[in-house]
Parts: sequence; C-alpha cells; structure tokens
Amino acid sequence: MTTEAVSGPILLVEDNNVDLDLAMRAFARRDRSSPIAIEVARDGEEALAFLPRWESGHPTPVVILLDNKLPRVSGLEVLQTLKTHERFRRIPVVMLTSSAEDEDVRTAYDAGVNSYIVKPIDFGKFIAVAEQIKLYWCTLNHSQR
Amino acid sequence: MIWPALTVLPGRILAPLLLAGFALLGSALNYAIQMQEFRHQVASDQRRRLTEILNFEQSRLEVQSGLASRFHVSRLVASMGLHSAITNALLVDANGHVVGAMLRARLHRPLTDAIASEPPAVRAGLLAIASGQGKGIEIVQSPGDFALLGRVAIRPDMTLIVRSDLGIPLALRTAAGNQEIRRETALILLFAAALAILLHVLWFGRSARLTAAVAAIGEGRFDTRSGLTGRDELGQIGQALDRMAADLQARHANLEQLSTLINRSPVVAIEWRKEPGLPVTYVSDSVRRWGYTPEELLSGAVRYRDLIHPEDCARLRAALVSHLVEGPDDYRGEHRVRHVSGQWIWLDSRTWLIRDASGRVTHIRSVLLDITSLKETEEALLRLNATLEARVVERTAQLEAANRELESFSYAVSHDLKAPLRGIDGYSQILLEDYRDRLDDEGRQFLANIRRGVAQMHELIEDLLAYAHIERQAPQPEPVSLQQLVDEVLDSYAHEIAALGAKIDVDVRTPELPVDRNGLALVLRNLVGNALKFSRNAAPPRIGISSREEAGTMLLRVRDNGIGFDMKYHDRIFGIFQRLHRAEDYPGTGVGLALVRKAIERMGGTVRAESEPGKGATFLVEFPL
Repeated sequence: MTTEAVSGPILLVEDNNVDLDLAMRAFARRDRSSPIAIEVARDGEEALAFLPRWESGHPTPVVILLDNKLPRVSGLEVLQTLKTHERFRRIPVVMLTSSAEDEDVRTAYDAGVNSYIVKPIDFGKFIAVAEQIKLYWCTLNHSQR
Repeated sequence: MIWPALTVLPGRILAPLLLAGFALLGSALNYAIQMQEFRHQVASDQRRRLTEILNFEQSRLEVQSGLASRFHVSRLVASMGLHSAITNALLVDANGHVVGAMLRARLHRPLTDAIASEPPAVRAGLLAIASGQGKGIEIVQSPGDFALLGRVAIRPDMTLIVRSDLGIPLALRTAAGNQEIRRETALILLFAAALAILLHVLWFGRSARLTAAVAAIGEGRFDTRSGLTGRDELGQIGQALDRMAADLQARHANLEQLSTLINRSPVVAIEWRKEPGLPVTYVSDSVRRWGYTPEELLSGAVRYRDLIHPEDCARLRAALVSHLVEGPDDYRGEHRVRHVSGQWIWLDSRTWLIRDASGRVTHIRSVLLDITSLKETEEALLRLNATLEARVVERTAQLEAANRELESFSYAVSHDLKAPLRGIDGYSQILLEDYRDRLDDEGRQFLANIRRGVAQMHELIEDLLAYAHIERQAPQPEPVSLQQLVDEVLDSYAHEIAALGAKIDVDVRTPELPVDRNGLALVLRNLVGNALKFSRNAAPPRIGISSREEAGTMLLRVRDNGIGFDMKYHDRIFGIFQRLHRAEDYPGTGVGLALVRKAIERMGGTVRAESEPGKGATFLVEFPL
C-alpha cells in the first residue's frame, strides 16, 4: 500500500508499554518500506505539552490516537482541551481504547471525538485496525489545515 | 261557685258527702210530706167530727130552745167545751147578742164585745163565720190560723158558731207519726250508707289505686301496676295503664342500657342548642373521663368552647358556619379539648344538625371519640416514617455508591484485564509469524494453545461484562418485530448453521410488541447459540423457534434435538458459571443461561426448561407485555 498526501505524523497517546509496542508494530507491519512517522506521548500531560510546540511551528499531526485511561490527565480531558482549542480543535482525534462502555463512548462523542475504536485483543485484528486508520485518516480524509 | 269545690274534693269523699246530703234532704222532704199529710188528715177528721157535733147540737138546741129556758140553752152551749179541741162555742141571736157561750162572762153581750179578748186571728175568724147566711151546717178552714170554724142555724133566729182548734189533734197525730218518720229516715240513711260503701268498693277504692298508680308512673316508678281487673271502664283503664307501664318500663330499661353503653364507651355524646353562646342541652355521663361533670357543662359553669385547643378554635367555628350555611348537615372532623388536668385530648367528632319542621337548625349534636392514642401512634409512625425515609435515602446512597464501585470495577476489568491479553495474543502471533522458522511443531502448538486460552479468557470477560451490564441497564421497551429479531439472530449464526446443516423451523407470527429490544436479542442469541451448540452431533440438528401471545403474556419457545439434560440440574443450569459438560466437549463460559435468566427477570418474566437426557431440550420464556 502506498501512502499519499501524508503531510504530518500520527500522534499516539498511550501509557501501556505493551499496547504502545504492539501499536507501533501494527502500524509498521505492512508498511516496512515507508514507515509513517509516529510521535508518542506517554500520558495526558505529555500530550498537552505538544500544544505549545505546535504553536511554535512543530508540524501538527494528521490524526491523534488517544487512549482514554491515562495517568494524571485522562484522554477525555486531553480531548476536551483540544476540541475547545481555537487553533487545534480541527485536528482529528480517534479514541483507541479498551473500554466499550456506552457511557465512555457517549462522553467521547459529546466532547467531539472523530472516531471511537475499541482495541481488539486479537493481534491480527489490531493490524487490520491500524491499516484502516492509515487508509482513512492519512490517505482518504482531508482535514482542514 | 260550687263547681271548683266539687273538683277539689276527691270523689271518695265527695260522693259520700253528696249521698249524705241527698239522704238528709230526702228525710226532710219525707218529714215535710208526712207533716202535710197529718195536717190534712187532722183537718178532715176534725171537719167530720165537727159536722157530727154540730148536727147533734143543732137538734138538741132546737128542742131545748123551744122551751125557752135560756139558762138551759146556755148550759148546753157551755157543755160543748167537753169536746176536745172546741175552743169557742157561741150562740148568737138575731140581734147579734150572745145567748149561749162556754164562758158566762160573754153572755148577753154583743158578739164583738164578747170575743174582744180573743186573739185577733180567732176574733176575725169568728166574726167572718158569724156573718154567714146559710141555713145548713157550714164548716170552713180558719183563714188566720190552724183551726176549723163552724156555723149552724138554730131555728130562724139563732146561730151557733164554733171554733175547733186543730193544733192539739195535730200534735197528737204528730206524736204518733214521728216514730214512723224516724224509722223511715233511719232507713234512708242506712240505704245511703250502704250505697256509699258499695260505690267505694266498686269505684272509688279502685279509682284511688288507679290514681296512685298513675301518680307513681308519672314520677318515674315504671314498675308500679294498678292491678285492676274486670271488664268495666276502670278495669279496662287499669289494664291499659298496666300495659303502658310495662311498655314504659321496658323502654326505660332499654334507654338505661343505651345510656350505660354510651357512658361506658369511649364516646362522649353532647348536644347544644343553636343560640348565642351555644348552651349545652345534653351531655353523656362519659364526659367525666375528661374530668368534668355533666352538671358543670349543662349549667354553663364549664363552657365547651373554652375547652377547645386555641389552634383548633377558628377551624372548628369555620366548619360549623360553613355547614350551617351550605350543609351537608352531617360532617366529621378532628379537634383537641383540654382535660381538667391540662392535657390535650384528640377527638374524632361526628356532628349533625337538627332542624325543626321549617328547616331551621335548632340543635347541634356530636359524638366525640377519644383518638389521642391513635394520634400519638400516628405521630410516632410519621416520625418513624421520616427517619425511615432518611434511612432509605441513606441506604440508597450507599447502594448507589456500591453500584458505582461495581461499575468502576467492571470498567477496570474491561480495561485492565483485557490489556495484558492483547500483549499475550499480540506477541504470540508475532512469534508465530516472525519466528516461525526458529520454532518446532510443538513450540508452534504451544503458541496456538496460548492464543486459544486468550480467546477463552476474552470471551469470559466479555460475558462477565455483559452480565454486569444487564444488571445496571433498565429495560427500555420499544415496538419490536419478533420475526425480524429472530431473523437477525439467525443471521448472526448463519455460518454455523450452514456448517452444521441444521434445520431451523420458525413459527413466529406475533405482531410488533413493546419489549426491551436489547434484552430480548440477548435472550434469543444465547438460546439459539445453546441449541446449536448442544445439538451439533444430531443428524441433522433441528431447532424450532415459536411464539404465542395470550392474555398480555408473551410465550417464546426454543427447542432442539440435542443431548438434553437431567431435570434434576434444572435450577443449576441457570446459575452463573454452572456447567454440565467439560469445556473441551462443549466450550462456553457458563454465563449464557445466567444472562438469559437475568435479562428475562429484568423484563418481569420467567424462563424454564424441559428436557430429558438424549431427548433434546425446550426452553420456555414467558414475560408480560
């Protein structure tokens, strides 16, 4: 698969080492030739620390993959901060989390999340999810810059 | 007037008095009549006698006067004095001189002179008879006194005049007759006395008893009886009176019982006259329970309105005014009155208005029931209720907190338990794919077993979460087409059905029904899944799904021709983690039927199964619509 029109990295916010490693591997699995740039934040605070960097010219991500259950600042809080931010509220955010609770899904969409994906247990399915994300958010979807 | 006097005296005295009076009057009348009779008899006897005397004297004097012996004639006349009762005998000649008399001094004198010494009535009588002209014997009654006057002519020139006093013969006759009169009088009195006694016995004695009985009954001694018998008026009055007294006695006894009943009951009966101040006209003795006497209330020494609790006064007055003006005449309320000790008594009052013929309210009556203890219980209950509510709120809060804790627990389970599974599965797969060459068959088998374990654990966690989810989710009824729902569920098993070659019979013709879609879908999914799982060795597996709606109840039936089960495990199969088979034979978590039962119970329904080992199983779901 070739990627077109990718002008920025993916921001992956994930605190769990295993999940982070698996996600990196899943994204790189079928894409060894031209791997997509993935930036990583290990908790909500680190994620929010990107905001001043983006303001000072650091390229903004094409999509942010956000875990919900994070130490210190939760994924939902990061989402709310982003979606109320004057400049960065249009960056697409995909909630990638293990909770399928109705309540979590509802509050995430209420806060303006662009998509909600439950992490599959089966690694094969996880790879498929990573492929879909790349295809949709990095290739098909044109987000406003 | 005599009339009032007659009504003052009792008959038993008046009647004998009247009888005595009548007896005396009768005796007097008898006496008077007898006396008159005597006079008449005496007068007639004497007249006859005088006639005889005069006849005799005439012939004698005519013979003697022819002899012309004056002296002899005079003696003859004088001898007439021998006849009793003759007081005067005078022979008068043609010149009016007396020629013969009983008294010598009167001889040879004119008649007028001769009798000058007589009383005037005698003199007038003698002169009147002397002036008569008849030739025969003439006898007349003296007009002036009780005497007879007689005249007879003796030869042509002389006249004999006689006066016979009737007083003496009358006195003699009376003396003889008086004894007779006394006897008659005695007889009359005796008869009157007998009559009085008879009257007394027959009438006045009984009437006195009647009078006494009436007076006693009038005074309230209802046990009094006249005891009169007989068929006369008095007897009948007496018997009527006795019946009336018996009736009164019975009614009075009844009244006393009723009054005792009221006095012993917890009720106070009271009546007010509707006039300013509302004076009490009756109050039952039971008012003593409040520490007051009926007399105090009746006299106004204690006024009812002063006993009413100040907080109830205005309300009570308003209620009375409203009912007086607009009705109804019968109403009920509650208020407090002060016990003499100062404590307040709660009363349940039932009040009704008494109207006269014109519809004007004259009296107000109430029965007042002491409900103090009821009120106290009620208040205690209210207090208890309030604390109970507080406790319920507290417990609910605790339960909600526990529930939230459970939710966060299941959240943690979903998130944290699944995270390591992803790692295990992910690295197992990476090992299998990227290090396949460096593993032998056994190593690859181990990795496959690891991945199967992960899949089982994942399934278990998902089932547990679904179970917890059902617990928290209230059923949300919406119109659901059962037919469509069954089709959807069968679609989700399409692959398995095709692989097993299973025959599915669906007989669901129920219209759209308001049910909890998610709950019913979960039930169907699990039952169909179970049926497929346990009949997979049948050739071919047969599954029947049917529904029936009757009397507001939905009946759903899922049957299979699988291995079935022993009914002694019936209750166990619906318990969580309860399995009848090894996981290698029939994989599963042991949560499915527990989920079914929980979902159905949330919808207010029941689930049960009918089976025999080797004969398939039928699951029956029943829930209200």
